[in-house]
Amino acid sequence: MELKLENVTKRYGQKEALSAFSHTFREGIYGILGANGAGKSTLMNLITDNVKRDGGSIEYNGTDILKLGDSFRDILGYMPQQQGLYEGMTAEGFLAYLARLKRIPGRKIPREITRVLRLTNLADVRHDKISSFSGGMKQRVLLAQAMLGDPQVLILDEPTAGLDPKERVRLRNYIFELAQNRIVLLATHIVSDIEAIAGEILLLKQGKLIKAASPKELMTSLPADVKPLMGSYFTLEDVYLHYLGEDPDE
Amino acid sequence: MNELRRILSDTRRKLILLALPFLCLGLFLLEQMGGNIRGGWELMQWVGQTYRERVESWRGLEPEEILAQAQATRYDGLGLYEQAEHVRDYEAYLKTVQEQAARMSRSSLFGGDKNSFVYRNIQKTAADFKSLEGIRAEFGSDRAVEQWIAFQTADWFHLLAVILFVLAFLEDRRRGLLALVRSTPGGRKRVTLSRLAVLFGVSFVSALLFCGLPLAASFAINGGLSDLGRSIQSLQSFKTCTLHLTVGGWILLYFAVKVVCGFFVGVFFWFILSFLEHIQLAWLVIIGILGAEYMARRFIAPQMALGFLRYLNIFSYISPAELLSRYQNMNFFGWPVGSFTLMAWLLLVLFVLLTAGLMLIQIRRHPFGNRDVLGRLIRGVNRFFDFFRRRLPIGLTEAYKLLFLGGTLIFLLIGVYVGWGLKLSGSDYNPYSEPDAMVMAQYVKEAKGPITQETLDYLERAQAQLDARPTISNQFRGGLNMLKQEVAERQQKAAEGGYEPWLLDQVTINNYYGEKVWYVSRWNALLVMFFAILCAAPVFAFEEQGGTARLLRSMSRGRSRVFLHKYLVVLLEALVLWAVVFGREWLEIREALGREFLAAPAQNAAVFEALPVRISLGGALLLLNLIRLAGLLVTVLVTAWLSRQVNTWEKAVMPAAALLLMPAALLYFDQDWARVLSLLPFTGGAEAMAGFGSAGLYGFLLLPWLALGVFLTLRCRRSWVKTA
Repeated sequence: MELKLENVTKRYGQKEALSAFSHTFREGIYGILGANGAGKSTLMNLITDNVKRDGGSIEYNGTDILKLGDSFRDILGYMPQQQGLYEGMTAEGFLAYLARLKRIPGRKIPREITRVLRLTNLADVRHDKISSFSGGMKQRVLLAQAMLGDPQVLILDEPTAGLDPKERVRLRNYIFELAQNRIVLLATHIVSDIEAIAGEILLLKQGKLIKAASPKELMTSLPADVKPLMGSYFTLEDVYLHYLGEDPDE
Repeated sequence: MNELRRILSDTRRKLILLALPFLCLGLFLLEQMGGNIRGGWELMQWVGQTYRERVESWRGLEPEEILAQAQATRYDGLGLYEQAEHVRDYEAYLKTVQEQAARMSRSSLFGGDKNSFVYRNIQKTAADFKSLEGIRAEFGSDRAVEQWIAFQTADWFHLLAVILFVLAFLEDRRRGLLALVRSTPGGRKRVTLSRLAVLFGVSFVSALLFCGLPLAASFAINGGLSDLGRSIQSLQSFKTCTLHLTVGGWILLYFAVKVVCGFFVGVFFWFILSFLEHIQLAWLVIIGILGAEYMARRFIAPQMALGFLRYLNIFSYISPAELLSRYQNMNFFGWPVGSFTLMAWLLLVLFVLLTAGLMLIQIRRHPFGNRDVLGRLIRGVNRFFDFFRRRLPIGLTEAYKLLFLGGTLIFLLIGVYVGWGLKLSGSDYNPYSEPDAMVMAQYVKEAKGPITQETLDYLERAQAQLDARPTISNQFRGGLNMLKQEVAERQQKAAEGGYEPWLLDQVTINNYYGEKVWYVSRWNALLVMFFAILCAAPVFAFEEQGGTARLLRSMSRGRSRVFLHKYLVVLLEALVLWAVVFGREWLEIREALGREFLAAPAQNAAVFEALPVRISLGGALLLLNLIRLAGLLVTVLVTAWLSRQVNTWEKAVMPAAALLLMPAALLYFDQDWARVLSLLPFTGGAEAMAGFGSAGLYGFLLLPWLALGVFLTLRCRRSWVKTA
């Protein structure tokens, strides 16, 4: 299983939102870190074919995803950053609809809905209208739909936004379990979300991939002249801030 | 003021509130115009002027003299004869009430038990009417007030404006700002009091606008401002009114009652919506109450055992005119109490209770963490519906989304309601003004069908019958001659065109499709287009607005399949609108002509004479309806494309209205140059059919429109299915 992006570029007018991005994703968890506007969501939208790329290629197991079309979307689970939900639907109604869109056979749908609702701790409110949910609950509904059908490629854009610490840990553990035999791309600007679980972290800045390495490698990758400036104890967050150009003392 | 400013900061709400008074006034004028925009204005002015002139010329005359003069114009719809009759008989009516009361009191049936409600009611009625003795009914200009009082639509506008504001009060809860608002020093009592003040102000301004504008218009049309000093009993509708008021005084009282009632109804809705934490349930309760109350108001007659439910009703407050204009007592623990008095006291008691409850809810009740008593019930209901929703295929879910979540169900229902009430034919070819034509119509009824030797024999027999009666009126000869000419003409044209000649009921066909009545089909088509646009506008914009477009497009069936079903749903909505108007017309014309006549070659109908293809009348009507459907589908396709370009419903409606409805409206108002820019000839149908024949080839303009529809659909599909 391989998702390969090569020289993928996306421009919005004059602004280059993603610039010649190249990387190959295999089974495992990839944390995509970057400040707001770094190009994380653009990357996600390109992989889900929601925006048109201006250059480069995105291949899944050697075939361009545009050519694969629906068969690529069959193995895709996507959780967008915006809370796009039908507020007038119940959680179950919403998931049932999306399950059909994901080509999950009708007889399997109830079981599948129960599974993802349990995973996201929403089983008790499955018959409540989404409009009555808090922001965190809505986030979990979105996460639940991404997990429908056990997708091979899971694209999660800011999945922990609005979740409480307990939910975040729960989600983190779940993603870690999931990642054994699938590709998980997790875009965030919260380092702790991916620090412990990501096999590789990609640092994005102004549309460019500036570093891709495991958390351990990132920690040791700091130039020798920078380390003393950070003191005796520094975290991955400090490394992130260093690479992305922010001043940790600010 | 801050609260009012906050509420009016919402552009959509502001636009609606600005549009409502104009709409209300427009509907009042439309009613005065007999529902006919074209020519209705002149008719309304003519009626108003005639009424004013007659009232002025008869003013000061004795009722008997007026009756003598009005006799000649008794059935002209102005009601002056009945008005004079009422003035003449009012005094006698008052006496009759007293006599009837005395007679009934003496009878053992009604007067036997002095402590019964019936007996007390007789006595009270007699006493109430006794007080009216000495009050004179005077002849004058009544029409302005009578027409205004009959316009109950204004009550609905008043209610709508109040509800809009009540919904605005709930916005903080809907947007999750309740905790924030309540945590501020003025966020409880002060906000509630200022909202109550806003509600009162809204009721006042709404009453001023929705009652005042139609009243002003009514006076402008019918006159009568100088007659406001007469007793209210001078007006026919106020015959049983026992209030000692002048017409002007009654109008002021009505206005004050409207303000208070509007305010009370607002508090009532606000209380229910605040008391029930589940908005969904609150609306169900409100709809349930309104439904039950409306049924009681509509179907319970005042004399029935449950007659009090007709008055003891929320609609008495929504439409208080009846309470103020008709005499009616209700049984209050054995005592007769005037319905107006009782309702006023009830309003006072309920108002105090509801306001106190509202204050408690807003100030004291904690909005969160309460025992969710109703939650289980709601969940149960949702669980029941989820059982079905879970099984809904994609197409039905798309329909559910568009109709319920996108809110187009309301437009569809209004469209169906309006469409059902539309007049489908004109009467411009009515033969009854010409005696010869009237006789010919009778002959046609007997002789219609294929023109054969049998038809010719019939003509000969009819001629012989007329010859045998030399004294018979000339109109019979004229009518028969017209028929003979028609038969000869049909035979000649059929021989030239190579089709079978038929004698058809040309009048009926003309009244549906003739050029003189194109305004009917144009108006119907304009309305159908309007509702089709409203129904189709949210189809894609709704997904962009809710942020769900990307989510759907990331799924295997979220592209082609969803796109296809979205189109199917909007096309089905259009089909429903088409069926309600044009499908109904099809049934109507089939019935009017007789099924067997649909087999006649279409060219036998004068309106289809120029059709270049050989086709039966039924086939021509089918073609006409298919053209209409095609026109409507293009409307929907263009609107759906516009919907894909924007992210709100309004943004799709506005360009669609400019592009499709404006030229249509111009054409409707006889701006013929707009024909080439408009879809109306096609959605209207009849003129497009004429456009395929001798009148030119503009009927073929449908093809570029269809091409545009297909092109835009392909573009839309590309943008949804392919990468955006």
